[in-house]
Amino acid sequence: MKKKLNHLKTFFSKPYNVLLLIFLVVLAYLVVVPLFSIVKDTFIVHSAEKSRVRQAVGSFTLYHWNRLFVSQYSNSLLYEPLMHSLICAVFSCIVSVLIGGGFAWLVTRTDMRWKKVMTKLFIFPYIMPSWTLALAWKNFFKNTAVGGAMGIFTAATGIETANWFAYGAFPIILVTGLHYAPFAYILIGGVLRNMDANLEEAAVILKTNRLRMFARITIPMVMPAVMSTIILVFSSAMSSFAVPQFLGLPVRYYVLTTELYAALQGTNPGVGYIIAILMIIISVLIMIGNQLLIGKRKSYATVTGKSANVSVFHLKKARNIISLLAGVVVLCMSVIPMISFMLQSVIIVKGDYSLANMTLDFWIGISKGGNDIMDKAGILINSDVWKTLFNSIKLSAIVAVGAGTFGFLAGYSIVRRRGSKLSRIVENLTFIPYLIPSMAFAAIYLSMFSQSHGIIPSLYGTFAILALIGTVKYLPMASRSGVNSMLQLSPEIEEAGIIQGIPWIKRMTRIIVPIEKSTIVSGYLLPFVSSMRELSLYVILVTANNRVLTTLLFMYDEKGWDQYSNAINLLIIFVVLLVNFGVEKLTGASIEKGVGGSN
Amino acid sequence: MPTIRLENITKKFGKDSIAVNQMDLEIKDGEFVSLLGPSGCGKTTTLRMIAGLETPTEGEIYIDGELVFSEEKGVNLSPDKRNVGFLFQNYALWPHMTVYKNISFGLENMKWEKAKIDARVNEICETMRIKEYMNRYPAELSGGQQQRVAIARTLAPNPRILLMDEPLSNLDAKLRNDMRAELKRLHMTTKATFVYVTHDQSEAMTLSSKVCLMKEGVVQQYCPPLELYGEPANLFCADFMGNPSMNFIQCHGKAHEKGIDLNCKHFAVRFTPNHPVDLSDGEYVLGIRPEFVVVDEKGSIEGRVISSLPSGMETTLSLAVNDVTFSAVAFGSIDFAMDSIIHFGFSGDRYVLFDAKSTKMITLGSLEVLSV
Amino acid sequence: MKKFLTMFCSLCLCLGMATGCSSTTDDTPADDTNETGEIDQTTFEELLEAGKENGKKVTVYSTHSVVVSACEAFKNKFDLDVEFECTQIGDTDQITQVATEVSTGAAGADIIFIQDGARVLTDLVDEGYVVNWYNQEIYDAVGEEQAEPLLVWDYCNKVFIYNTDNVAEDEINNIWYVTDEKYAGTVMMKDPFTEGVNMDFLTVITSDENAALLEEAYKEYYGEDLVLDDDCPNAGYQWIKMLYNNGLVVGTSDGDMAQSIGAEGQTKPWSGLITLNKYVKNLEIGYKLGYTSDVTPFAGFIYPIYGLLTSNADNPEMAKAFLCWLYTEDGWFGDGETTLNDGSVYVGMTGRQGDYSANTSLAVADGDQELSVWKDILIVEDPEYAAEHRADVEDFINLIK
Repeated sequence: MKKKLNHLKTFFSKPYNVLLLIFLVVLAYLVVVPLFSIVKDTFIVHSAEKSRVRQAVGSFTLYHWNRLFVSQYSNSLLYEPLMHSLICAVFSCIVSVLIGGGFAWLVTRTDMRWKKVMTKLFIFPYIMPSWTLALAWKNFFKNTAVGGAMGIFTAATGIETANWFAYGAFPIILVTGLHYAPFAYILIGGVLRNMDANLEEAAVILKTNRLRMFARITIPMVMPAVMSTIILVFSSAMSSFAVPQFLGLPVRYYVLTTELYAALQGTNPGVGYIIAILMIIISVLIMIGNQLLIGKRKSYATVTGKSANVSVFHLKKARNIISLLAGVVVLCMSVIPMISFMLQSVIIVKGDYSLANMTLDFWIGISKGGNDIMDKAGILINSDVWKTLFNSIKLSAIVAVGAGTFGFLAGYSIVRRRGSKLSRIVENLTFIPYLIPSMAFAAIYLSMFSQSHGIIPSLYGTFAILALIGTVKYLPMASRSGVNSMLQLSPEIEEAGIIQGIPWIKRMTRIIVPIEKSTIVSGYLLPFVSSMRELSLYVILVTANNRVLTTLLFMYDEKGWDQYSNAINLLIIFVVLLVNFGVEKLTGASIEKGVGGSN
Repeated sequence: MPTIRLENITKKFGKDSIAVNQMDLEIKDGEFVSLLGPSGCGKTTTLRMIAGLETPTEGEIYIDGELVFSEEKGVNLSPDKRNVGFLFQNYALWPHMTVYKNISFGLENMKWEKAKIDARVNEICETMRIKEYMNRYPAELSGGQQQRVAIARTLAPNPRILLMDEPLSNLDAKLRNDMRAELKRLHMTTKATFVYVTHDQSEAMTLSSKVCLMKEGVVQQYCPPLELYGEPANLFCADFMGNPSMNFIQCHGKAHEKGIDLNCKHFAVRFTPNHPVDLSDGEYVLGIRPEFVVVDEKGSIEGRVISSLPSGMETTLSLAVNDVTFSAVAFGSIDFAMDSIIHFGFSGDRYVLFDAKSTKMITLGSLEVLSV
Repeated sequence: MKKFLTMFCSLCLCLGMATGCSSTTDDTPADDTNETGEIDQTTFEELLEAGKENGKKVTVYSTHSVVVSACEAFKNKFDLDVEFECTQIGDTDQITQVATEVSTGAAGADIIFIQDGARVLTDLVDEGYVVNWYNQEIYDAVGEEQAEPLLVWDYCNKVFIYNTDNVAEDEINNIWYVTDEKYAGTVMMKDPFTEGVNMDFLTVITSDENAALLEEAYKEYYGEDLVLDDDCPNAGYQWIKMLYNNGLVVGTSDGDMAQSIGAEGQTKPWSGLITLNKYVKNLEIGYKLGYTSDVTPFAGFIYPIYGLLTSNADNPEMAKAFLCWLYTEDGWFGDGETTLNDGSVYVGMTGRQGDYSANTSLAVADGDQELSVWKDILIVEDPEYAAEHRADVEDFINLIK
């Protein structure tokens, strides 16, 4: 007994053990319990469903499962949207990898021109909200399928875009693929840049021709990065809501997320909860598939050598053309959307791009005393917008500090106890939120936290629930980068402090934190930026009193107040860029590092 | 007859940084040449230029009489056409291929028949003693095994020239010794020309038939290793070769008929050159290898032991003569007490006289103590 | 050891919470309604005084933007110390929000102004989350028909509007035109799944009575008897099916659709069921729009915005007072001097076509028609019928969409 007691004492004398236990308990409550809670929700009658299920609210029912899987509605509710989701996700991956990977290759391995500017601009879409390109696409290619004014493209050229081109799968895939292309660029480019050039040189010496080398050496080497990209893009595309909502709805092209949103907002939330579970299962399957595919045997722990001077591939005659082409693509992804937002935010009658039809009223016009938004003050002097902006920033800051701090501490304690069961469990727990599509996660929290649980009151409609879900959702980002950086930091550095009797708090604040400063800041920056431009996570949890900019934009867009939604979009981008560059200048941390670290 | 000839080769990185400066070098068929020097001296760059992995800024390279590179004539044969083998420092094994595949890959490129490839891979794996690992991935092998695989991959196509870039630097001491012997054996059996880059002077000493010692992109001395050790061309060569390194003593020389009297700080010696040479009064540096500091009861110089490092076969000593420290080697299993006073003297004719100003070697000769 | 105990306890606590100590608090609906048949006799002044005394914040949710302004005007006019928080929230969001707030006892609305009677009845009234309240003053102003089962404050109508460049003035005169190949892919309507009143409309037209009218109109339009498809129980369903199959464009906003229909330089005969109010607004800023009120058998639909109290209102007296005031001349049109918080004068519904007070003594805007006229030619939302049959129609549309 005494021996056991002593064991416990030793166990708890280590701060990282205490941390791990705390994480275990808290994450079990915030991540595992909700999963059970949502399963329960698929078997009961909700108040909105009373009239269709014709049973008392809260009673047990199999109605939702029946309806979704084996009823005559299954096709339109589930199978078709599921197919659409899968198609969009798969092809978005392909687009991302081809464009991002291709760009990475051009930048790292060829003598393409204007690399510096292009790489800066190329990661722009990642900083911008995911629907940015969708909105821009609409601005440019809107056609007559839904009537009204044409997009800028048609206005300028007179050519009417085909329906499949303007709406539905094609633009969703292209826009999603382009949006996540920076992921592919950062991840694949990182590998290409750090990849031991000797591996390719060895092949050259052994008389391998260029094509064979690319196919048999270069591609397999970047495969792990490609796989990470695919997982990232696939799960992001699966859980993407705004893009299919903006581009799919006009032609009634529904995907799982839009179906989930409709179900939760409409008269059958039970079905929505099943869809959420389904989305989680899909991303878990993808994850497992990836693990099986990249087996342990082919471990790519590349021996990093001095890859001093990678020989660049000379594009020769094609140099100018390829540079130009890449430049156009990069501009289309970054600058041109901005221009379209600016244009759309100043025109009065849609489709008329003459100077006479432009006004700054939507930005700085004073209130006209009416009731509609059109009569209210422009967004820059509108107190409601300012309130929302402040709310957005407050939320993102809290989420960033929460996720960043906890993520770093989790990373620290996981690495310190690496190999133990406890550490492994906690590591997996921190990773689960990553696998749960945003809107499904929000659905879970909606279902779980709208009731009070013991000492925790109902959090519905409060700011707290937004902060909580954001923190948990972005925890994986921060904890991944925390784990990775702690792995690179030898434990001796801390042990040197232990031997001198420096207490834990001081060791953390005086030794570990200063060393890991850049990682920690990246760990804060990434959640901040992600939260600033998050829609699907917040849209069903936000109530009128705590709107954030993204949900405000979504509302404006739904109501067709294009000038305002475009202006708000610019505002979001502006804030994110400002914070991003500010932090980058001050600390040297950057989004790019964060993304690299999170995988 | 694969002879490698470098003529006036210069390599610049950027505008100002010169990696290799106007280098001339001829490597004859069947030689084992080491490119030796401290890091950043341009040795790896030279090797990579021979292979074609790096493009020289100026000069010409011939392999087997064929011009493979010429800045002037615009010739630049790509690496795969130079018929060389290259062994990388970090082995550069392809992590996604098995050992077998790693080795056979190059042979497939050369359009060998399948049966022939199989036979050759088996043969070379046998030679390199890695046969049982043929179906493993590189990550599943130890460092030494990876090294063997890398060698096997390089040797498989029977290259007549084998270029090696510090191939042993990632191995531990014991393995390194084993591999040295292995490389020397391979050189014998393959009869190929080996060019070997290393920063380890003892490796260069033990392996090569000729050493090319480089410093800041310039060849300092190119000769057989023992010559480099015994007759270093300048202070740098003398200092770089040998461990413990040579003792250098600043002194003022007064020339006379028989040689020169050197007035060092705490003693004076007479230096008699082995061959007649013109000497004048001036500043000199006397180079004394530790093994020629002869510890002897009857020695006329007194030194205090400040460290004694017995290794069994010999003991390395640091001796203080006032504020000048001498390294010495005493052969046999002996240890010396710290701070004990011992005597030493000089014998033989392997003492080296350098010009203090130009740092160049003047001549070898013998020493005789004049006063203490 | 102490640390461990704490840890252990918190673990237990968490598990305890996890395994479902979800004790839902029983709500006791504030039972001051008029179910007994007797109408509340408290007056506006009394309510106002009681509300001041209560002093707590009044939270108002509304689907209609004017209520938000009215809120400010009300507080300013009576110089109230009581805080008002008024937010515009869409009907679906409002239903979820109110249901959650009241059922969990969270702070939230005192009074709501909301459309989509079917869902309000089933999700909110039946569950006891909101109550239908009115006093004698209101009852006198609106009458029995608009006080039960839900108190109507305002009516809005959706009529067929069209692009005047491509549709002739009397071209649209029969509701079956939407199924005509000539108009394929050019008819718009707000997505009934995102705005319930549209679903309520589609539900109500499947009633036997309305289906009969539709059947008659079909013969008038196509000159032959309507043959029902197997999956269509009556002409109402048949119309919905043909509407969707003819390429109905569903939109997310009336304003947006009005602009799409009326944009200049188009060649297609765009038309759609859009709120009259949005029609007027966009006509004014130059869109090519027209509307018709002469359609067989009905020219669109009219739906109420109800004013209802929540059962856990913090300051029900002040909320009631506000409700009473909204039925007055000052509340509807403004008194010409009370200002809003941004300094502009509160004008309420002045000059606003497409909004009709349930208090029919208040005049409709110039150029608009009387509420009674509209009610004759439009489908009037019947919340009870819609509540009963809406799930059927939703599922029907789910299959054909």
